[in-house]
Amino acid sequence: MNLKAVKAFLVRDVKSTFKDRAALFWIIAWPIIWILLTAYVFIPPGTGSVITLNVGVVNNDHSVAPFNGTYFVKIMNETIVNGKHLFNVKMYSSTNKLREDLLKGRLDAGLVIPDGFGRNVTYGTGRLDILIRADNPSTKQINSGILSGFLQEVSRRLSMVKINISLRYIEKYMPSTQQGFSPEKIKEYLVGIAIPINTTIKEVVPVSVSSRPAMLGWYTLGAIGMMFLYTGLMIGAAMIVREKELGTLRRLLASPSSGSELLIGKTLGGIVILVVSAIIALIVGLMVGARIYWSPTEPVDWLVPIFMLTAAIMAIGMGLMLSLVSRTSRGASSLSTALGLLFTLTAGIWLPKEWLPSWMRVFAENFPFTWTINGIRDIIVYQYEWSDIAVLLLKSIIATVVIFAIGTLIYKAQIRRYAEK
Amino acid sequence: MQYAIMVEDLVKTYNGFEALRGVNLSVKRGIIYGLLGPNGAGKSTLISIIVGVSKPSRGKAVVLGGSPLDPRVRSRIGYQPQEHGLHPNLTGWENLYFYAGIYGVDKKEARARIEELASCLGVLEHLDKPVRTYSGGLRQRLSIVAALLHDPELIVLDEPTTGLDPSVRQRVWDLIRGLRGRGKTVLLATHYIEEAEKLGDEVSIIDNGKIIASGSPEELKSRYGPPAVIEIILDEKGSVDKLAHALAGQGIKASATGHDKLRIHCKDPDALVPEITGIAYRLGLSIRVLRVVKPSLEDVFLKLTGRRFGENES
Repeated sequence: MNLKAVKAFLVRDVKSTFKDRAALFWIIAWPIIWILLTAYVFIPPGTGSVITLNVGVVNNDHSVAPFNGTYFVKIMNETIVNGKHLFNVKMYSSTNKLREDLLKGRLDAGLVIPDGFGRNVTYGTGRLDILIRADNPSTKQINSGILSGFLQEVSRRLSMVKINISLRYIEKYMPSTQQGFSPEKIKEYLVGIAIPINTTIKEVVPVSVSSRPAMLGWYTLGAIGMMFLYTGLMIGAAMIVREKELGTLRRLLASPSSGSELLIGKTLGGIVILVVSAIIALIVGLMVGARIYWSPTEPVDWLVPIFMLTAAIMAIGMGLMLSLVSRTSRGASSLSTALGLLFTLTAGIWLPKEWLPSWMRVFAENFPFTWTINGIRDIIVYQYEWSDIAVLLLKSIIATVVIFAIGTLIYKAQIRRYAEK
Repeated sequence: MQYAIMVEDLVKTYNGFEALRGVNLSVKRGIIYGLLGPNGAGKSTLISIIVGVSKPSRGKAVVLGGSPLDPRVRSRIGYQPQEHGLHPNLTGWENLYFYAGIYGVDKKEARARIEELASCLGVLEHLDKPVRTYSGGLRQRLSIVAALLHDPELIVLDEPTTGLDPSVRQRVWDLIRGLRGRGKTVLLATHYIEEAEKLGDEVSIIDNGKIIASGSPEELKSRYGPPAVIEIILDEKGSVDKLAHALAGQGIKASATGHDKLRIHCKDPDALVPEITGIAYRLGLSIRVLRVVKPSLEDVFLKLTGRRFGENES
């Protein structure tokens, strides 16, 4: 094999691609646009942190009890979670005014504290009227969730205060030896009445997607997968037809270089283009706050470049298959872009497969290119070990070899067809 | 081996159409061999087989002592196709380095060759610019440089001067003659009669997929050409048919070679000239030029095919 010829194809393709504005848009600008959209539209800054609700309050309570409407508003104003105020409270004089501002979207929720609230809470059950802004299911769920959580916690604490006050009276008027009841047992019983089931919810999320930076990392890989797919398809689909359009094919066929050198040189050129673009996309991802777990000292992390290589070769191989129906480089480009974007959205490359309809999920699970992207995610997002990844790696390599071999056969047939035209 | 190219009974068929119909050709080493024929005659098909791009349907081609399908043979051939084969986004240098790499020429050697050839063809000062900014003629010259970069033994040029202005054409001709001077063999396919006649040590005329005559231009002219040719140029364009018709009535066969030109093949021009001027006078036609010239390869083609060169071209 003439390595100088392979190098010549590689260098020419890389140079000409990076001098072509249209190619640069699709290979570099487009993935960057997706990463930026993800970072500032789909997962905007603040995602995952505490949300402050704008709450309007009408306090009609004139009770003289220690816990009354005024004290309740004070608690709301002083409630801080993770260093952030949970409520931004605005006082209203009438319920109508409060409702008006809710309808205009100036408030997320409203509380109407009726007269006698403090007295009722102290001696029985207090009542609160809550108004929730419910423009859409998501807003409704967030606003009611935050407010319900807060009110449950206030109710629980109030229960404990009332139980402790009740116990003081019980201890005073009922001797501990009488009827075998101890104050501790009575307290336990009363707490049980107030809180029959004490639940704690712990979210189990892979460490890498537990935060906005980690989610951005996940989507950055999706953007790279998308770019690998349509660019690889384009490189393969236009491999021969582009040379023919440039008028270089006859000259190359008359040269001592073989078709294999053309194929290898152009494939290597494609891999270089894809890797450079992937590095640029990763840098942009890191700049917008993506966090990616990759360590050169972790041997399993070195499978990431191998998965990337298989993804690139597989996409180019699929592109060679497309060359059967590509009569012009413009046609090859349009077909590759359309198919690339279609597969990106339907095969679990950009959208998690769990979001897809069941029939599409079957496609996502069996699309070989998705295996390679999943392999990369399993390592740098879920931090899988060798044993977890081995089967996927094997499947990806076998699929790549088969697809590229079929693509090569088609390529050779195409070369002969063009030579004899 | 005395011959650079030997082709025997070559047939090439595309979807039932015979582009080459039993071509035989022998090209000696160290000469300029002209392959003259109108467009569509089969020149490019024959060249495709000689340079190893396509396989013959029947027959044999031996180039530089081997098969043109052998990469070692192809590495000794320099081929300039009709398509320029240059990447528009790359500079002249980048395109030429690419072809140097394909032929395994290292960068230092390639640079020296590029400088020598490009300055010879007047392209050197343009090499830093992207090829998309080049004129057609400039691309053509760059394409010739690319074919010669690896110092090949056999150079196959397919219409190398198409679209070039006369001064540049002369430079290309000088370069081709220089190659012959260095012992190279040049196969020159052209549809310019003057080019084949001036450059070709030997010429084959190809028409409809067959070689109809071969030999040196002088041999061809003496073998197939008339003893003399009278060339007439009329003042009034579009009147040649009228004059040709009138001459035919007197048994003088004249062929129109342009809107205002006629060529008459004859043995004794001195006897014919007064008769021709008399007929033109009676028809009221004004003759601007009337001269007796030596026969050209165009006359040979006319004699052999009965058609004017390029008559069937669209």
